[in-house]
Amino acid sequence: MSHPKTKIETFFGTGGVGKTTLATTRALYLAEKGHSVLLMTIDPSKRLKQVLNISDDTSGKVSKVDSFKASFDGLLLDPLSTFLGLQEERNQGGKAQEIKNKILQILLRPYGGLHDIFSLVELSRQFNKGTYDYIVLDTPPGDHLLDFLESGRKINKFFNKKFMEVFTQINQKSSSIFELAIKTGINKLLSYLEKVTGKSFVEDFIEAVNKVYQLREDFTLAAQIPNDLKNNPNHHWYLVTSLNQKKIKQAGDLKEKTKNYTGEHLTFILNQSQKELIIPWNPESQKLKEIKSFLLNKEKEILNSFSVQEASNILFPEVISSSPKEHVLELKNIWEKESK
Amino acid sequence: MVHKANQIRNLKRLYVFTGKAGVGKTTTSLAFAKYLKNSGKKVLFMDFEGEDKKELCHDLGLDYKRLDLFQSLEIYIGLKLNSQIVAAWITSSEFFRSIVEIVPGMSYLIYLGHIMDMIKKDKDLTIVLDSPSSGHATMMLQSAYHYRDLFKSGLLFADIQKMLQFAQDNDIVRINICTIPTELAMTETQELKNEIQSMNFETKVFLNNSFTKLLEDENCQDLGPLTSRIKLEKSILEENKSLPLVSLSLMHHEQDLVKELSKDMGELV
Repeated sequence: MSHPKTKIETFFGTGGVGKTTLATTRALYLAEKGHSVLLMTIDPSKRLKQVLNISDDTSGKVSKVDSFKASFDGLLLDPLSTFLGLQEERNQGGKAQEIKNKILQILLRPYGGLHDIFSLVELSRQFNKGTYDYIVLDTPPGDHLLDFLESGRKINKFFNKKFMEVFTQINQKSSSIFELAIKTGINKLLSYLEKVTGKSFVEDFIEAVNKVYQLREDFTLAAQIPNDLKNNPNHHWYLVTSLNQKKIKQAGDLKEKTKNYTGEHLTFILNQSQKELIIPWNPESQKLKEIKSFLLNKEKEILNSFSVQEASNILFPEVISSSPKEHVLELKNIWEKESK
Repeated sequence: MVHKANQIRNLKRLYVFTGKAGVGKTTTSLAFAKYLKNSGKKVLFMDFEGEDKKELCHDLGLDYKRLDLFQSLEIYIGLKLNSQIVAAWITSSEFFRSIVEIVPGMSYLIYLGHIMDMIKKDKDLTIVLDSPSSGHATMMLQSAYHYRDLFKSGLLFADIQKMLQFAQDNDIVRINICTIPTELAMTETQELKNEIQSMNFETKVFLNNSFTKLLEDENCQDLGPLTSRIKLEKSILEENKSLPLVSLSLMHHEQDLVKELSKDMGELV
């Protein structure tokens, strides 16, 4: 069992706090330091493509990001590409066959619903290759991250030996009473389901499960990743929260819910601080004075209520420039200051 | 309190609020529900993810329902197989649960089905749904298509067909897409709008946290650090002339915020 040297840095947090932009600044900072970096997004919205200026056509393929001084690789997760990639690896170089199974075809579509499972599988693939010094991970907003993290448990449940035995037995003769009992139970379930889903669905479903079962080693290896993220001190987590949004409770909840996955290696990022820009501003009109006071108080309230005792935190300022690329360039230098 | 102008024209049966994560969907959808309630309509505020809104809805005087996947599934399966007992047995089976868990798209289909059913059964009801953000909203709306293509026959197929026809009736459903004036949000909004319109759902985009709206009666020269943000907002409004605006609110508490915004929700009907 290999122990890859790759360090995984995960950026997570509620929606609209700046995860994608900050993950990009981190990837760029590490690349400028001479490391090999993969910046990967598992957010189905794929905002990363806009920040990196790469097209949706590159989905599922690792592509070189050239738009900055130092280059790094980028990857927009695509479940179908991951599945085909796994099959190709199984065939040891042979071309992956087109997916013929209707159920897999549909479920592997970009919004087909298998996104979380395949995010974990793709992360596992890239990590276990050992190619990169760092993988920087941009995640979906808020609690959707938990769906991703829980995919490990779901994979293990699905590949539960008992269920697998059952599937193979459905098409075979059963020998023991125990097996018969399980088979009868599952058959009964399936016969009820056939009434609602139609017979061809059940047949396609069994075939789909068998195809997925052929890749079970890759899936069960992927299921180990959440444990590694917690126990391996090489990996790090960044919980991003915005000083512009009053979602401090949600950020706290997210921290609690991910405690079992992040372990001790967590840093808070307090993003979009406007204090430096707003304090020197002296408007005349009453309305603008109210706005100034509102913005400052909001930021102060969030900073005061933030439980930062347990982990380190980094402050990032709000950036006025409109293009995502300019955002990235302006913020990247904060990492430099932090490392000192 | 009933608004004077309670002649709401073209009221839909289901309003789905979605948009890029973090733009204020929940707050606006609550404000919208409050507006309808104040106008004398029978409204139910619903969600199936995120913060529990029971207390907030109670304080706002809004009826609230949080959907639970296995509960909704049990109801549906019970209906189809004509037996709640069998349905309870199926939905409690480890095998069944692990299949359902591994494919989240299916849960969205179940939620949608349940919501459509509620609308059909109660002709006076309007539902305001605080939906997941863009990527997951797309999954939710596409789920009906995916599963219709999967089940080419059987009871589920027939039900999905019926549900889709019902949902695509533009008198029934409208998807309100919330956005803010930043580049990332506007691009995501356009993508989302295209995606949803290709599924034949009616959409309406509106701009949240609008400074333009907040400062509309002011003649402010000294905008300082707000200058570029307002400039960006103005350029967006130039390209989208009839974009409804929801003002940035300076209220501190969620309840007050929702009440204040609810006065201005007419344009989103």
